[in-house]
Amino acid sequence: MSPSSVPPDEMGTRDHDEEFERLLHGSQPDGVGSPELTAFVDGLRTAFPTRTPARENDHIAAMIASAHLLADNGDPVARPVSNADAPVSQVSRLPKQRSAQMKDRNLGTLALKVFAPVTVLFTLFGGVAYAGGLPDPLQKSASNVAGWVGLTIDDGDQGDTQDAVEDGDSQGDATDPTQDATDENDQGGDAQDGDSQGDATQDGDSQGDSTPTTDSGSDGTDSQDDSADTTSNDGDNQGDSTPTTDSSGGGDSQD
Amino acid sequence: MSVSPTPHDEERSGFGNRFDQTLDAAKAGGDWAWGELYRETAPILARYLRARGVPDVDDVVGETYLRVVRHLGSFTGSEASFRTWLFTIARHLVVDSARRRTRRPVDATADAALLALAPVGNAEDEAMALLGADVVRDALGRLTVDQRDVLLLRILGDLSIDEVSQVLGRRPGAVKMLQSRGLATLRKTFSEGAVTI
Repeated sequence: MSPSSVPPDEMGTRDHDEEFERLLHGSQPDGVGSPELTAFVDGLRTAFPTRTPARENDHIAAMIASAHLLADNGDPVARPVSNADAPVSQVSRLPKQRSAQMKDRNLGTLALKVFAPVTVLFTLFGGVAYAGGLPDPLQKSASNVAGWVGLTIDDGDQGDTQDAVEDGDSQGDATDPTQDATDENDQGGDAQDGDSQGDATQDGDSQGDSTPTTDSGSDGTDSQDDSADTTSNDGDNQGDSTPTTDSSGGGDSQD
Repeated sequence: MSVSPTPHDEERSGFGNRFDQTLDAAKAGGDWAWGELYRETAPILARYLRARGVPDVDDVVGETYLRVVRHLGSFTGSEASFRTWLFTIARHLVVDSARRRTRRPVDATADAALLALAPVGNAEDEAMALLGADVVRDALGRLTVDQRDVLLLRILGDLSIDEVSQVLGRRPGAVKMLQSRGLATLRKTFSEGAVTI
């Protein structure tokens, strides 16, 4: 493209850009180009001179402190970009804070993984156990465990018996009447036993009767000694807790 | 972050051949290196921020270098790349600060009063500088924000077209266009006598 084929405005723009580049690089010859543009660039640089920031020392101190803090936290500024060439002797790791956070997160995830299935299983198992739908050994175990914490869950036996009664099980029917009958007989026997006990009491009376017989013998011996007789009577009186004893007192009255 | 060096890197280098050594020392925790990086680059950054009308230049400069410290471990490149990175961080901070001020406007009178009380050197030079600053500000005020940013980064930040494009997040062609239009506006302003230099 020849200069003559370039539109005047574009040509001027390109010239101005080149002039500006020369100005920036300080390679603009004197007396060439726009004096206003040159004055503007110089004026801009003069108006805003290169000056050290007022708080230079504070800024540098803050930079050094920040670098030390990062290094103390396990995040040194020096971080190897790549280990492709060779393993680095001191490889930077995650900052301690992030490492701790990741550990906590991992522990929390692990706890969730363990406790969530256990909770679900326990809930399902407990529900079935409460409904009494577990097999007998498991139902008994569940009942025991629930009993420890104050809950009442049917164990397998009660459920079976109730089922058997409700189902009209022939074995249960055959057994129970027999037992009832036996109980009735027992009660009858007990009544007779009560009578026999009464007999025994009578027997006891007969024993009491035999005692005066002995006493009568001793009375005969006591007839020689009144004081002994008196003592013997006292003994009879003790033995005369039954009316039969009075008849033996008759022997005493003979004395 | 990596930027290829530009042809005139050697001309504007404040570090000379020491930049790589200084950068490595800073990454290794050498305190002296932080001071070196700051002293060689902060004055230019502060100049750009002042010309841009940032009210709290020192705060922005300090925050910029703190971010440099935090992220220097991931930086690789030449001195020019480092300067580009610095200006990028600072510009983001300025934009964020401007957004905050828009939400919560603050009175800038305090800063102006402090500047008036600041110690001055040569009174004549200061007066000339203030006069020149007013004229230059007047001329800059006739540019759009983007045109002003491009010219300030080029003239005061000493950045190339490619580096400015990285700072602004625009294509180099767009930056060239902004620069051309800004220069054309300035010429028109000067030729019409609206601003006399």
